[in-house]
Amino acid sequence: MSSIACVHAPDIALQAVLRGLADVGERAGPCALAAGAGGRAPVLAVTAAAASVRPGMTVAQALAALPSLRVVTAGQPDVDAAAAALADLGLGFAPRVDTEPERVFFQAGDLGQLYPDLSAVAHAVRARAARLGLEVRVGIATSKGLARIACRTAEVAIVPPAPAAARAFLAPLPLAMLAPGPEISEALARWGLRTVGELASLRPEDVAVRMGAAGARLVRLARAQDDEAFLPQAPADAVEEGTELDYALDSLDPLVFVLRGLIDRALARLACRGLACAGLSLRLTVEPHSFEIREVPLQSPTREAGILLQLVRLALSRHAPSAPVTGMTILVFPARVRATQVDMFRPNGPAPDRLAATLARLSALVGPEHVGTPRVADTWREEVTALALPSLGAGEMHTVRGSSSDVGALAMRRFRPPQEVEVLMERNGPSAFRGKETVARILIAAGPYRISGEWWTGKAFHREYWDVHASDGAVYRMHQDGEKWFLDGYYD
Amino acid sequence: MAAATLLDLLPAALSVHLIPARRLEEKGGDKRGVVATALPRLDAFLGGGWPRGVVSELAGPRSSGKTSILYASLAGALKSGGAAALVDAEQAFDARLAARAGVPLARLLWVHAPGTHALRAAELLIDAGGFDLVAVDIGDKSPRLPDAAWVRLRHGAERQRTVALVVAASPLVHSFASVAVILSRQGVDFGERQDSRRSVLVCSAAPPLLTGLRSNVVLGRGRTPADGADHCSIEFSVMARLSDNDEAPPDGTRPQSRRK
Repeated sequence: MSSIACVHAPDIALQAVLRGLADVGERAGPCALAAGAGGRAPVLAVTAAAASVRPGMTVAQALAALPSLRVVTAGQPDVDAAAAALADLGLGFAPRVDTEPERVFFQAGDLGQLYPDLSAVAHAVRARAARLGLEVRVGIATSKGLARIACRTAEVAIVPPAPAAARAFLAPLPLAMLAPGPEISEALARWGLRTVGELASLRPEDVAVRMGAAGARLVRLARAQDDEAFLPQAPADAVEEGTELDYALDSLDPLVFVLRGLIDRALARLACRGLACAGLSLRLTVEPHSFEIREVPLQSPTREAGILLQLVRLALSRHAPSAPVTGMTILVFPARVRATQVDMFRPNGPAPDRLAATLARLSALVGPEHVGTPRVADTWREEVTALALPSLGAGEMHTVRGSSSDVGALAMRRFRPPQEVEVLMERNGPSAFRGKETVARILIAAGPYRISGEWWTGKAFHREYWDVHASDGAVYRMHQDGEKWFLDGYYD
Repeated sequence: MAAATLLDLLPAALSVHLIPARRLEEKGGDKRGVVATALPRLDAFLGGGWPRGVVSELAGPRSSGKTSILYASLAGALKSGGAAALVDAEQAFDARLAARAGVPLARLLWVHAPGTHALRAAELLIDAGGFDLVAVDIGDKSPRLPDAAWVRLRHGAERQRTVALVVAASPLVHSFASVAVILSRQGVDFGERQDSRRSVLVCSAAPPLLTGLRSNVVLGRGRTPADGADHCSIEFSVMARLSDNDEAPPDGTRPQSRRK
């Protein structure tokens, strides 16, 4: 029999605000969520520490009852991020989840191999939710509706799978646990019904005559006969976290400070699903009403917030926001950390996760465009070297055939870009050159080697190359392109 | 049955691979303690290759062969299935010639880290573990590098059993390096130019052709080679030669029409 878990995060808007406060190291204390600014705005939710304040009071009344009360309002990005975090919590336990406001449902019956019983699953869900900054209640039952009712009864509640036992579980509960509408609730009170068991003793068809389909469904639910469909859905491609700022920021350090919290939260959500960050997109809301996007590519997936933060800092310092920032949203692209099969007979090479972290650190140090695997570019221009994504996993290693000889292959050190020089030409070729760093007579000149090409791309070139032995003892390669001469490098 | 008789019974092709136990030491040595290069003569001079767990230095002026030895070292480390990384301070790496020297580019990690970032990048790579060789090509413009950076590099190499190879125009590492190989120019070889397409000499008065260069290798620091030689000579020849192209795209696809 299948088991559906319902995870309920009550007052998720208030929890979203508290998550944000925890990110910046603030202790919330007694806190109330108001619907808006001003003393007449109603209080929507309060924390446990503010027991003397009740939802429905105005802010002025609440402050009169508890002067130390902190009144907050929730921004939509915070609420959306908290809701997405709740969905990710479910995705940490199942590949697909069914969501509704403040709740997430997932199939818990398959987790028996990992946890001793369903109660252990429920406690694991609560522990993981705490790491995401959420306080949740967990109910597990054979159907979605019953799991939702179980959530209302206690912080952790398991409805027995047998129909009779489930009915016995529900029987003593007050009718409010079924969350009937106000009209049905009033009618049931008029009939003198107080508990779910009393409602379950009625025949559904008789109730349907008086209350319609909603009443009949309520009776079936009271009899533990739930027919609500469980419709799980695949997760979103990217994880989004965002916040709105109380006042605009125009310098890098406070911006990065706020971003740290967002990145931590996004990585915690990815960690729930066993994923790492493969890239990051930062959307900044700048004054007065416009957006700026910064893409932060990664060479390989990472789970280290410090590395991501360094890369974001690098991206922001290279292209600073054009105006003060009033809000920000990060979109983190998930990826699995590559697992590789270790070969028994060959060197292991770097561990994939450590290599990924190292590549990310190197990217943060020198920029992602300066880290990679070199490859020969498809061009006749010799100075061009392309970079590809590194792939040094142990599984991809193979023994390379290479010849060992007493005579080595002569290499060249490139000047990038080629150094422009003045050249003195004689009848047989260049006889001396002068550049910013090197001045030398040419003892022997071998050439010219004429190379031209890329007329098919519209960037045609025509060059004459020379290998020259200069008076400083070095052997240079130089070329003439049009009227100009360049030193490409030296043989070494 | 005597061991000698058993050995005689084995097929000749197999028996050549059998090494008597008493000869194991003289035959193999400690191969795990070194990373061989693709230059047997240099390996013999260094006692098998670059020693693991220490900082080694390779210094020489322009055209002394240090870059060729660097590529041969990378090729040697990668040839056996190991991992190697090159930290290039001056972006002087030539992928085309490195591939000709036997470096499997797809498995080489290349980091362009200018100035003092080069040693920091090398530290990060060594700390990642699993690299047989991490080479730092400082280049011609040797920046002032703090001693602490060399100490960290040496400790990292020792901890991870990695070869940390520093390549520079002049000795930089000093006493922090356990092995220092100093190169000097011995000669440059020019031959006569030959038309590769017709395989005939163009004429005796044709312009010369660079064929290679020779380097003198001296051990500035480290264990003296077993044969007692204090220097050796290594020859490098041009593998990738420039030749007049015929304006075809490099991938070999010939365009339909040629623009004048």
